Amino acid sequence: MTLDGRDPRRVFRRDAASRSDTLGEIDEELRTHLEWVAAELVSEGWTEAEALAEARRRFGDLEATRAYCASQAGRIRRRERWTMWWDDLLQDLKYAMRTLRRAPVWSLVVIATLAVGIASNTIVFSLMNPYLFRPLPFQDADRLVQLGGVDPVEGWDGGRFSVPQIEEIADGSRTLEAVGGYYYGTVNLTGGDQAERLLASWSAGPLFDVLGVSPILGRTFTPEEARGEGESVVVIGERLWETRFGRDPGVLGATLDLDGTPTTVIGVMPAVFTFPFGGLHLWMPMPSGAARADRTAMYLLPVARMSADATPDAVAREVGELIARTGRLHPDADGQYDGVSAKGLREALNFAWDVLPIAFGLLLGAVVMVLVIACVNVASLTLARAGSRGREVAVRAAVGADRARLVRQFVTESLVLALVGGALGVGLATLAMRVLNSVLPPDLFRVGDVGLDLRVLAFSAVVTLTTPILFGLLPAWRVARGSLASSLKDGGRGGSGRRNLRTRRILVVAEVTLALVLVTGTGLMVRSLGEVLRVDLGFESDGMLTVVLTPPEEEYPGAAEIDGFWRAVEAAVAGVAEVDAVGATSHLPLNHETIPVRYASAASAEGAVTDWPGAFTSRVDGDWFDAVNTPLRAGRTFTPDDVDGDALIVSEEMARHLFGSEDAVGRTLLFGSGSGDTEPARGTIVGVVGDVRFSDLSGTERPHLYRPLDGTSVRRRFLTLRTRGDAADAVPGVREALRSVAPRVPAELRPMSDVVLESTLLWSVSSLFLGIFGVVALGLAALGIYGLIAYSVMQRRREMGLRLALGADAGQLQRDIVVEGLRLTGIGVAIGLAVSVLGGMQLEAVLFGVDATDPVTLGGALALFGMVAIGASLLPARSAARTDPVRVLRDD
Amino acid sequence: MGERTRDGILPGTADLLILRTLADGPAHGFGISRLLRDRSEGVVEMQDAALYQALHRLARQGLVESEWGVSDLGKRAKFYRLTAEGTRRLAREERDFRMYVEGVFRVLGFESPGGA
Repeated sequence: MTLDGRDPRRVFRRDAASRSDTLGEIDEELRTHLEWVAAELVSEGWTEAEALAEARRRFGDLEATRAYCASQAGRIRRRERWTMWWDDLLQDLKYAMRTLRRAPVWSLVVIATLAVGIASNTIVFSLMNPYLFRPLPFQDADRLVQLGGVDPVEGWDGGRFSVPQIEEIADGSRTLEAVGGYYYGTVNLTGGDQAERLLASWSAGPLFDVLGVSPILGRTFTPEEARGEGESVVVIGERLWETRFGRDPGVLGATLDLDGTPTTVIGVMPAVFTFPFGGLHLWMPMPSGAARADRTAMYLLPVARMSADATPDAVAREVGELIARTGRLHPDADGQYDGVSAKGLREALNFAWDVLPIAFGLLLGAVVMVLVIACVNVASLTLARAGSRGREVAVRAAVGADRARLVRQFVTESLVLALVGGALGVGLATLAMRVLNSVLPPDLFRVGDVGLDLRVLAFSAVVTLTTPILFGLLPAWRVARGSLASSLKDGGRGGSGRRNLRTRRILVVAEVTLALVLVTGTGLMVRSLGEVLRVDLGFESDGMLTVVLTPPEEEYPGAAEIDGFWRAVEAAVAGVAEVDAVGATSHLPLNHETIPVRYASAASAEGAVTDWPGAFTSRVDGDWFDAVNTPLRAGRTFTPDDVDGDALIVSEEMARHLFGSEDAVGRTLLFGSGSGDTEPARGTIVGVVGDVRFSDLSGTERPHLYRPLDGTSVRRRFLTLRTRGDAADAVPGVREALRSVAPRVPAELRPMSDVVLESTLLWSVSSLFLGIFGVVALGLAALGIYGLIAYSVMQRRREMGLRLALGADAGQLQRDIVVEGLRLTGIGVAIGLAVSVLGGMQLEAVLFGVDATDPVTLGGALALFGMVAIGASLLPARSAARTDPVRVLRDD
Repeated sequence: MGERTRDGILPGTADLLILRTLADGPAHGFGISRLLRDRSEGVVEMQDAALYQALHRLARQGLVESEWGVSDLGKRAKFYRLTAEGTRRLAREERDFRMYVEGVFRVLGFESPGGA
């Protein structure tokens, strides 16, 4: 018996037999058998024809056997195909691991690039999700709007409404099905071991019904309770239920001591119900009383459910007309608004809605660029590998490796890289999300936590992972096209290599362009941040500690008690060793609370109050300016004898605006509420102080009017403490002092620098994120340049060797190579600068103190990229100059 | 012996007989058929259809494998040989069959088949 060897392909290629092959073999096998039996019969004396017939007869059912054998063979064939596929895969994987281990740096770079590309996209999209995309936790949320009155002068459209107004809107509107209103603030929760200050919301009307939400336990307000009648009730949030009651169902009927009022818990809302923002876990009806009937008590933000066919525009128009009509009857309330706005809840509930899209837009631009750069880099890297492996592929094809197998081999290699990179990317993203969830502010409205968004993950994975696979296919495809002989001849150095190089040059230029745009973007943001931090605040935030306290009404009901409380607290705090000066105010600068006021000089006032210029106002005591280090320009500060409506202090800006260079002290000032609803009050200016930033750091600051803090009206106050040394060092002493005089009043202590820092958040966060992505992009671009130059040097080793052998100057050679790198980078930088300036103009809204053509940023980026280009090409240039001509020439 | 099947062998013994035959070396279907007949002195005569179906089933079960070769008569033929798995299976089936036949013999009061 010898091997037949019918199919020589099988030496190299283990093919599964085809179906027709097996059928033929079965027939041949059975035919041979029949022939042998017939031959035996002939030898026994049968005629040939009879013998064959007899053999068939003795055989039995030939057709059935044939069919049975074929079915068995078919099963074998299918099994073989599977094992072969599996064997091939294992072999490919083993081969891939070996190949990748042989180029560890290359593999690690590709894996890291993939991971960064996938992670950064997933993180940013997942971050945006709860703020912008995830469905709101309300029923048919797209039919919910929040109404706001439009200020006729400022155009600001968040004006609030009173209960009678909301009731009239609900009755008179056809575009709205139901309207409720809410406001929020803080309450003191006492009765436990320690007093706690919690965020709470008060509502009027069927607010829970408007939102279409139900509690997970208990009930919401009855119509009677919603009107503020009956005993005090509260609906609490799931988180509070968990932390305070350990999820005890017996919480219903329990009593919470809220601002000294025993309040019965009647329901628990699910954790996902974050209304009007996260971190607020107490919902109560607005208490009955005078404020409910007072049309001018405009505290509430109306939330309305639109009829099925209404649009926000139609609502704004209709309610606007309604308010315009009633405005004639109630000029002091409805008449203050010039129209009404109706906004979707997502926009209305998010305080940062004005900067959020800009910040996310920036982030989005940055990650998309990083993703593109990552893809470009992986493509470029894969191409480089492909070029250097031309010969290996040609050799394997020549010794009989099947082309399909070669293609599979390359795809397997790319898949290994892609899978490892992808897994790493997901890990990175998950980690980053855990960090993000712990640092994101809870009171910025969002739906749920930041979590891995699977669709986004899938998207970036597909985009990033496809790249290496596509480009990994190139060399195999080239072999399949059949340039085998030429590849073998020139050792994979030939025409395909040159074509690769051109493609890669374009890719690297694109990379440099994108990276430069990101880096200049970062530069502009950092410069803006620098400018913002240099803004003259008008006070000294370093060494300044703030304390906010609200003496509860039941313990300190009247002016005398409040006054006594504050005297005791101030005295106690002033006694702390680290505290140099103590001031008090009703409103802290840059704390997102401003009280608008309109002002005019009594001597020259004309027109309606609402036509007067606007300012902000706050109440301060005499020591405040000293404590915060705001200079007194003229006159004096308040004394304890000054009472409201008597003495006033104005900012320099206000004094200049009203009286020019003339002396403001001693003049009479008229001032009315921002909405102009009450008769203007008057007072005498006793002092002029330096301008202070109250509203924000980047805008134009309004003038400021200071009124004396006389103890009668302001319950909640901020103490501002000038500390010796760092503000944080004074915290323990101050806490101790507070405990001694007011143990049951919750106190919040914050260094003023923290408050200021919050106002720089847009720039610092943008700088941070852009900076991270900028560095990543720069690193990737540097890798791209390095990879390309190194590759081109390797391709031209022979030429370099020859030049060196012929006496070329090694230094000159190095310079040539570096110049090549610089030229490439130069093209990318030139395009990048143009794009940056154009793109920077779109950023004008968030830039501060610099513009898109900022020479420092652009120059810096230019220098940075020049250095990166030189650095990235110097390494391969060095190695080229050290090339041993003899070895290179011998190698070929 | 009891009633013989249409194939001329006891039901369930076809695989055992084929595997046993192949234990002596690779053979083609015709060869197996003749070896079976000769060794059993004509008692065991398996029908050809059953033989080939059994061979292909055994191949599918991985107990035998086939390869094309050239017969003693110079003709191309498909040769079967035992796989390692087939050898193990044969040993087990032989043991089981012996135990079974010995049991049957004892019941019938025959002398032990012995011999081996």
